Amino acid sequence: MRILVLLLRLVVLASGLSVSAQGSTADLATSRLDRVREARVLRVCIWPDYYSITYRNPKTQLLSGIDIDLAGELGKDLGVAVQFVDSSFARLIDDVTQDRCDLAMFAVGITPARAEKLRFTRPYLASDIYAITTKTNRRIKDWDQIDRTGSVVAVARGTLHESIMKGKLKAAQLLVLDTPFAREQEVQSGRADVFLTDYPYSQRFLASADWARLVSPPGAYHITPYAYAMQPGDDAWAARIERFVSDIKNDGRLLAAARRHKLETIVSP
Amino acid sequence: MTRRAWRQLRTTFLLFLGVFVGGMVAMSAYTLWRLRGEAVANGLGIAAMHSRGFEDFLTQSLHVTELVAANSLAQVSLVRDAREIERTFVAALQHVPFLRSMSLLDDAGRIVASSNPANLGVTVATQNYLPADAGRLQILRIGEPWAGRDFASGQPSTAGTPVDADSLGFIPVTRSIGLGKGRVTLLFALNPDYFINHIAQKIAAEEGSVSVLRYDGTLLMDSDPGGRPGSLQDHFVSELRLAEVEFGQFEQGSGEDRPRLIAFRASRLYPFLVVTALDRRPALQQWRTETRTVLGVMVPALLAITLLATGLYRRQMQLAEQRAESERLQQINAASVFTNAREGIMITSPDGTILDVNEAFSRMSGFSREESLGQNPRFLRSGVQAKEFYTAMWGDLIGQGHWSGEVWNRGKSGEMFAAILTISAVRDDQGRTRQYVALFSDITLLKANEEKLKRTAHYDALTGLPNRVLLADRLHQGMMQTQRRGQRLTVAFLDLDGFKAVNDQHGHEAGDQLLMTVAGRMKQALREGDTLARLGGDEFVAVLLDLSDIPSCAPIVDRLIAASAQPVPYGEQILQVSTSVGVTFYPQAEEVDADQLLRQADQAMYQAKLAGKNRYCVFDAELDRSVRSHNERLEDIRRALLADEFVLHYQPRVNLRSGAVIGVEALIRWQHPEKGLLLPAAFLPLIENHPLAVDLGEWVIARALAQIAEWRGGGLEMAVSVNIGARQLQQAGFVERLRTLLAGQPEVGPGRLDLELRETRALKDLASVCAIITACRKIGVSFALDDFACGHSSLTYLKSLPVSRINIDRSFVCDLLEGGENRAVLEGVIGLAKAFHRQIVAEGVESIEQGQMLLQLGCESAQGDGIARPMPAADIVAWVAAWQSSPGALRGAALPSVSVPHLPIRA
Repeated sequence: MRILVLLLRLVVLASGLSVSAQGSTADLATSRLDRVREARVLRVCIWPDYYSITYRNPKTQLLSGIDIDLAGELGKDLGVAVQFVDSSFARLIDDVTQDRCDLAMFAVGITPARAEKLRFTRPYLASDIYAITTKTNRRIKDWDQIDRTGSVVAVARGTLHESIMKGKLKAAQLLVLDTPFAREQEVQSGRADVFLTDYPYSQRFLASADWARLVSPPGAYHITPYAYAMQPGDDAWAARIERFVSDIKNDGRLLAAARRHKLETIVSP
Repeated sequence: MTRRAWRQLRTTFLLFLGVFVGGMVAMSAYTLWRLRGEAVANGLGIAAMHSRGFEDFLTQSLHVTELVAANSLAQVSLVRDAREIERTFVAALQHVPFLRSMSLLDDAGRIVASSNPANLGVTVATQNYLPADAGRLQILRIGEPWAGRDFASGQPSTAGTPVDADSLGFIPVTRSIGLGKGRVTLLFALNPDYFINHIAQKIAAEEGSVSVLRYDGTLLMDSDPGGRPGSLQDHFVSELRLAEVEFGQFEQGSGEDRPRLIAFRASRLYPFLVVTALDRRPALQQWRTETRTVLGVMVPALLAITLLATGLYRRQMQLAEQRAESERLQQINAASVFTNAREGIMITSPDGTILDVNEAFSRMSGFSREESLGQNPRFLRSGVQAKEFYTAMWGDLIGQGHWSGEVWNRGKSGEMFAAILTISAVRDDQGRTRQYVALFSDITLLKANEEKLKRTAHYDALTGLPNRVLLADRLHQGMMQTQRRGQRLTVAFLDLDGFKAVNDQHGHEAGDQLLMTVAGRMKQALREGDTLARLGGDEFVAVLLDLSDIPSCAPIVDRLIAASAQPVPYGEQILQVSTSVGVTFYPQAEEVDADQLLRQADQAMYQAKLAGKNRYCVFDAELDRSVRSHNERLEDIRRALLADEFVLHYQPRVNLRSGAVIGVEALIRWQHPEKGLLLPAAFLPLIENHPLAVDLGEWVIARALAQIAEWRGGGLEMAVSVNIGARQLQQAGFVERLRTLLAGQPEVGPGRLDLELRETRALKDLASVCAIITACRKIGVSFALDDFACGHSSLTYLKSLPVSRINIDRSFVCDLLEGGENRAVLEGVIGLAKAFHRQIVAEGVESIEQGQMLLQLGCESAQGDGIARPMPAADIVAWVAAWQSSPGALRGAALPSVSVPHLPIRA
């Protein structure tokens, strides 16, 4: 009996997928909210390399992070199942606008470039930029030593760091990478001196790599608010997601989830 | 303790302390040294472990590099496209963080393909890589480190220009792989940071460092920030003799700044070795902590032990010194006491053998020290003390450890000497008697004195007869003996007749001589066992024992009287007395004691005297019983006072010159209902010192006042003098009572009563008596000093007491006519009285001649039997009338011989 139900669900899921695959052009009249409810599944875009936010442990293949928890909360609120869709900052806009997911929930930094294409909820986290280097790197001891001739700064493609650093770095070479964990490999092998990331990623990463060392900016360097991103033009959906964000802020679910992943210091008010 | 013994003791103590402390220090040092050895060995072990770990890690990594090379080459061999190769390389490097880049070299050493496109075209010289290229060998070779990130931007280092410590660097490694007939070479840029990082995880910078050296001594990498890759340390490597042993450990000399624990290990596959150098300081940190703990405990403990031991030692030394000092002093004291003591000292062993005697002992006993030593104290025995005495002495000595008492000893000369002997047992710590010490004090002289005193106490000094005390004793014993034997005892009281006359006529010496002789004769007259005692003066008592009846005593008493009556020659004179004897017997019908017996005998002796002396009288018990006891007589006086049996008689006092009656002296008489009129001598002595005297005195004053009043009522103004005893005068409230009595007779004017003070010797406090007299004078009662010039009524009183009159004692008046001393005294007294403005009355005037003489001497007032005898009050009025109307014998006699203007009036 249970197997039968499971099968039925898979069928429904498959049909939902096919529907949504074509949905980018059609169904402009109906809200995504209705569609999600109808399909009984919420597709959430995540970046599985994102420590503390949406991280898939390669050794266990289990997802963890604040947005994994909050996506579950959203699914509960909507009364639908949650399906995670692997994405990355490089593919973010495409994945959302091309309806590969209903919502991007992986601490998406609100940048002007993204805001042009995507609709953001109000921010729920905010983080500055941090650098990670090796413990033995004698050339970079503090933040000011990063932007020097001969230095190689690695960033992940599509991340806000790429865009910000392109504007900010004067002397150092910016190395833009798009393979999973490429930044860490480059730094560890010495091909790059540092890679840039945000607070959630750096904290969790330092806990897993004994060779890594954090280099913090001396003051506020570039604080970026993080929000959920979705396809623009669907007010009902946007309103529902906005309500969710305000709900989790009010009912403490955000703070509880943040605490679980040691992110309470960067929760947006 | 001798000085040498002290030194020895101190040396022993210091030696012991030194050995103990030294031993403890040595033990601690050994322990610490051993612990240090362990710590070093442990540190070396850790270094070796690190070396092995890192060598293994590095070897494995290089081995992986070889595998990557082989694997990549296998793929590369399938493709010829450079881009493809590059992608393959990049993919191969993805999970190998210790490889920074991977390139393909052509035969000329130029990079033809690389994971890092920037490297293309760079030519790398590999001929110096180790191991040396031996043709076709497919081996991994290690080059000198490069500075920079990769070949494109890097520079190879040389021993002269090593890589800057802070700058990025890498190690080139080639791996040749046979490919078909030829071979291709892959070039890797090995990332040393990765390994350094790995090492840093295991060894903190302050603990030590790990360096990786190529066999030729080129430093490939160093976890020490100061190490410069590319530099040459060939000396170090060559010293390790890697050809002989590939691993080892050693401690690098302490002479350097940082002594280190070195462990090296050569790679099992590649030409490099890993050298771990641990700083000895951190490696020995725990040992140092332990050392500090051990020293922290040991040093204070040893110090405390040393101080404590020294303190104890000093204290012991001090005590021992004190002990020694006190022993020394004791010895000195004992020796000097022994030698110099005035007491004889004898020291004996417990069995009594004499061990030592001092000089005083020799002096006392006459036995020299040599003669005494070894003897038993028995040799001094006098035989005075019985055997029981010595038994008791030994009993005390053994039981209580000491004995003290008087002993008679016999000295060498045979003379006895008395001694107070104190014997003490000297016992040791266990209480065993070690010695006896006997102290003798010679008390022979004391004994003699005692004997003398005893004699004085019991014998009369003059006659040598028993005195009153011994008599009492003898009498007492005799009485008891008599009672026991059922016999009779006689007490004879003897009083010599005429002894006083002998004394007076021939002087005391004669009297004494007489007494001695008579005493001796009387004693001779007695039998053995009888006692003759002298009571004093000329009184003797004989106690005669063992008489069967009363008559049998008569011959003895007669003999006594006869013996006393024998003439005694004194110089040329013959003295002779007789004896009156009173005899009484014991026992009697009534119970009597010794005193009573003596009194009875005394009384009987008195009877004998009365009966004419030179005889004996036997005490009449019947007569005695008629005489009342003293108390009974007192009671009679009291009763007589109440019964108004006392009366006052009055003796007139007149002016010899004018014949005027000055007044009367009141004299008390007892109108005894049975005995008739009794004179004061019959009763006043009885109440002398008795309160009754005061009552009687007051009665006299009251009676006299009443009489004055009576006479006044009868028209006769008469002044009355009343005798008053000192005792009565000094009675508290006397003045008050006198005032009361005077107030009772208001008609008696002042000056009518005066008081004659008698018994002035009983005046105690002249000042208070003065006050009383003054107070009396204020109420009109003046005073006279009675019996003046006689005994105590002396000049002092005349001077001190505010009396108005003095009465010259009759004894002066009666001798007046004989001239001599008394007359001179009288003249002086009269002169004094005038000088002090006192009136004067001569008492006891018995003849006309006396009156005339008194007048001549200037004393006008007189009283006496020659003028008038004391008479009852009732007779006074008549006498005064008669005296004034008809001149008496005295008066008449006085007239012609004294020419005084007043006298014709009397005529």
